[in-house]
Amino acid sequence: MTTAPATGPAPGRRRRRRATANAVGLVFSALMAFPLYWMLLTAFRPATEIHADPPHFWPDHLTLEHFRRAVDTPTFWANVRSSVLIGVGTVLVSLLIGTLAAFALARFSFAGRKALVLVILGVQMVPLAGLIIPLYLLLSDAGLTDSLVGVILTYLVFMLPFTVWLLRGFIAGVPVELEEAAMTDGCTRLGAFRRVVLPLLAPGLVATSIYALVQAWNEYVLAYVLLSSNDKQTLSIWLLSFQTSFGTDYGGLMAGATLTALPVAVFFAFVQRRIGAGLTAGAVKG
Amino acid sequence: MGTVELPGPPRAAPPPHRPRTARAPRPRRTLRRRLLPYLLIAPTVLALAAVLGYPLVDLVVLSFQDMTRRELFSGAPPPYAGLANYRSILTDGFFWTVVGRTALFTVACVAATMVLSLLVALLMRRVAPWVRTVMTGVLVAVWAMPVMVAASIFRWLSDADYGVVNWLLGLLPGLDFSKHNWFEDPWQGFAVITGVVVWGAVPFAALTLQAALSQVPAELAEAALVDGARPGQLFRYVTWPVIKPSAVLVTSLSAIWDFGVFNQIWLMRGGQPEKEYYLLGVYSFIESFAVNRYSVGAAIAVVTVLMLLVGAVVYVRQLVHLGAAE
Amino acid sequence: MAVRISRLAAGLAAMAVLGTVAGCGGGKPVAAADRTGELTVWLTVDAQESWPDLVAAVNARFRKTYPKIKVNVQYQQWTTKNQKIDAALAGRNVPDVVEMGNSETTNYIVNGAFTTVDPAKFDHSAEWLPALRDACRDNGKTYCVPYYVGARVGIYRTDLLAQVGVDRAPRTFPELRADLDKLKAKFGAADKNFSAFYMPGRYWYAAMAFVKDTGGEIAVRENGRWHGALSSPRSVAGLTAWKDLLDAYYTGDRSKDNGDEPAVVGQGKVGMFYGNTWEAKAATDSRSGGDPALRGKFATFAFPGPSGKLLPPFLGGSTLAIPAKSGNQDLAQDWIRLFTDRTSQRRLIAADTLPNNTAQLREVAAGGVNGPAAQAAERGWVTPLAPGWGAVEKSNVLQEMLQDIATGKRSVADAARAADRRIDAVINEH
Repeated sequence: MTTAPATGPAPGRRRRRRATANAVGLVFSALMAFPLYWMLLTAFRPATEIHADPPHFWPDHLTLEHFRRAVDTPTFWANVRSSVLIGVGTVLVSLLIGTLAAFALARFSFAGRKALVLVILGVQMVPLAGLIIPLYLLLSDAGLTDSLVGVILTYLVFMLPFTVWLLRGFIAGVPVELEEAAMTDGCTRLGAFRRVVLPLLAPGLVATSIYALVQAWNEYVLAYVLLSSNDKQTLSIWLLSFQTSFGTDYGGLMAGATLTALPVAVFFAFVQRRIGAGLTAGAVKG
Repeated sequence: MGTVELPGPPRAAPPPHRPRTARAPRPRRTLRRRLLPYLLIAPTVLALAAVLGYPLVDLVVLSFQDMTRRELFSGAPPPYAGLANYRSILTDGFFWTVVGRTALFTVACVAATMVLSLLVALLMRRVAPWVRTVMTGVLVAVWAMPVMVAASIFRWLSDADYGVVNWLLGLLPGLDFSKHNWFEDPWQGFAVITGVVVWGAVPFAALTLQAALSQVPAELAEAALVDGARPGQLFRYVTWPVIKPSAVLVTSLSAIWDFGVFNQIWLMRGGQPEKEYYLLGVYSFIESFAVNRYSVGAAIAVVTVLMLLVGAVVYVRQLVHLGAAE
Repeated sequence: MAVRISRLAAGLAAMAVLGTVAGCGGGKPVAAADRTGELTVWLTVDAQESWPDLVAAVNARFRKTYPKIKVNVQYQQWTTKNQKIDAALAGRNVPDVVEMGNSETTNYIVNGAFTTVDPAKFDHSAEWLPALRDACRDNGKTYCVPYYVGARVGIYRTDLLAQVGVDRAPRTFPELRADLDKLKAKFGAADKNFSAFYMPGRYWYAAMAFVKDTGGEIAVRENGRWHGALSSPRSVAGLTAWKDLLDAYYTGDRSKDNGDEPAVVGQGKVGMFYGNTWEAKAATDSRSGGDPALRGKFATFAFPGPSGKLLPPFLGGSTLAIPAKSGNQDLAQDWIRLFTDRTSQRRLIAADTLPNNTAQLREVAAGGVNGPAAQAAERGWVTPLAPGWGAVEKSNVLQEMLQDIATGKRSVADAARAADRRIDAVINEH
């Protein structure tokens, strides 16, 4: 399938245009990627070269010393564990209960539906930083401070609205007739949902889980306040430890940043085909 | 389909305006069926009400009180202050400066993000498949960067003494950027901060728009060109109507996120932003946690939400309209 | 909300009662060896970075008395510590010991965050440094225990000074300027990035030392109310002296603070600077961006001020407090007692830190890296012990004033007047 306009000017001109487009695309990629390049370069070069003046644009010597130091920090693996548990926990729970609500919104008309839609959109606007103290007091009353469950619960409510909204678009995109056919074939409503709707929802679930994962993985203000034990903190907070009173350990910080971003980047690389599709579907059906 | 082609969404369904339950309620609708939607939304509603609604009410109550650390530490109920907090911020010229600055910042970030993303998305439809793979790869990698990491990188790039940006600019003839501090002048500082925000936002926006562009029927575009449409007309009458819903969604989400931006400023200014760098989110946070005027901070947060709501009313109405029609 | 608060209050009251019972059980307390539970201690990362062995040793000693109590030490970052402490103190899950900077304590004390301690139980409490002792006192009661203090000194590159024919540290202000002139003439001419004296524009601990030196003040208390005094003639004189030094010898960025001082000094383009004694070591440590090749090329000296006396250093230090909501107040006090006793203080001195009392200040080797700091500490000063001082610091009033002065955006007098207005607005707030 070619989507570029197929007809038009003579082939020669088209080739030239394509070449120009390619060049512009590559320049753009280089500019976008430059901060990443500099991060990796800083992470892999010896400490004495990091502060070279003027900076060296290409790597001279490579070293793993910063990565070794980062991984050797006492709480590193505990922090990885926290990040993974919080990320996966948030994604799973928000998908589970978000799908139910999305289904209700897409397939039923009921009193209060409009209000729910409004609330779901409005929640996006609540500034998280402003809620720290009230949230902390609430979780403290529930005995959920310094607990991963408390953090997951908090993230959950900030992810849910987007999850519900996006999935709603997907469910709306599944023809009702398919579901009805399954129901006349003897499936229950739930059975029909499971056998017909759920498989078609896969791209939506992927897109949503990415969104939730990135948010949960990156957030640090709430996690910092809610998790006081050093070994329960997440990787985002662990990164702060490279800024000491001795100055910023840029080598360690960039190595830590690389390690923190890596799992998400790998995950993205696997599922990126679904990302844009999912978001578009959510929007189109919105 | 090229290797990096983003597959389209499930589009088996005909246009969305085919309400089923709304238009044709079936007679066999029992009580159980009527209860079902409420059961389905119950977990979501409960979670939102408990973990978000309750603190939000607390926040609003707090904004009408005068809470100091004494009440915070002892748990004693703070005295009520009526509208005093709101009066003090709304009559403070500085507050309105921050509001204006936040609005300007939001417009700049959203405009830059959208224009750039649209250009990138259009470009991605024209380049060779391998170039598209490279572009997608870079976009995805950037998207995966935590904001904490992005802010650290940009801070490091723009460092006055060792920043590579100063050095690169210094290579251009006639420019001396050695030891140039980007944050001394807030306009330049905000340029860098806008850079981080846009850099982080473009992947989401560009990939979404790119996927939306793949929905433009090739035959339609061809037919338009055969009919002698100019590229501008083609975009306006063929491409834009298809990608408009996606563009509206991305624009609104960006606007909401950028209006409440906090992390980037906080991290780039090392946790001590100067007054020139206050946006509403930062201002509210500082009033609460640095100056310990929790109630004033709460009032600022409440006003921020109200402003966003007013600003978003058109968009929300449109969405509710769409949602209700199904 | 009301319901929650009353519930919370009831819970706290119960906890407080329990705490008191446990603390005051003079008659027949549970034998220390049988006490169980957990003691949570929040220290800042300094302990983790510079004296982790002291923490381990104190925990081991504590375990001898309370074998069944688990001590849980958590390390916090200075920049974000208080926001976390605020949330914790508002909730139920409070730490039993918290480390507080001596410029932070007053606000917490007047707002009832900490419980009182009995100074008599602590080593050398009669000789506690005033800079720390005063920060812990309110209305004759003591609410925290001094931990350690640091004083800034002059630090110079011995090799560079030797190259301009100077073989000892300057002792007077004119001598200092003469040395700096020589450094500037020799190295500054060849490299426009060379600073004979490194003094970033937002480095307020340094600038305020000049204000103090000329007899000025940041803020003064009159009739029970605090107000800013930076625009007083003496303060302006100090700020002007600071600006003169900056103009004459500093070539770097005027709008940054001293946060990456060791890294900058480590690049070798600085002749002298004013900093904490450990910064000389950090400048040779590649982790903080320093250069190991500079090892052994730094020496410290007591920095002479324009007044003719030693420049009065800010005594930045830490104290240890017990939150009023802690359920283990007696255990917490015992832990602090061990952590700040004579033996522990000796260990801190060995880690190039100044002790919490004047008696042991004399144990600091005069010839050592910290000798000049101990010498200058006697003229040391602290930030105003006003309830709203924390807010002044957090809203960067001083940094922004100094930046305006350093960059020439405003005159000294103008910038100082503006800063006074901002100080007046918050310094009396609780």
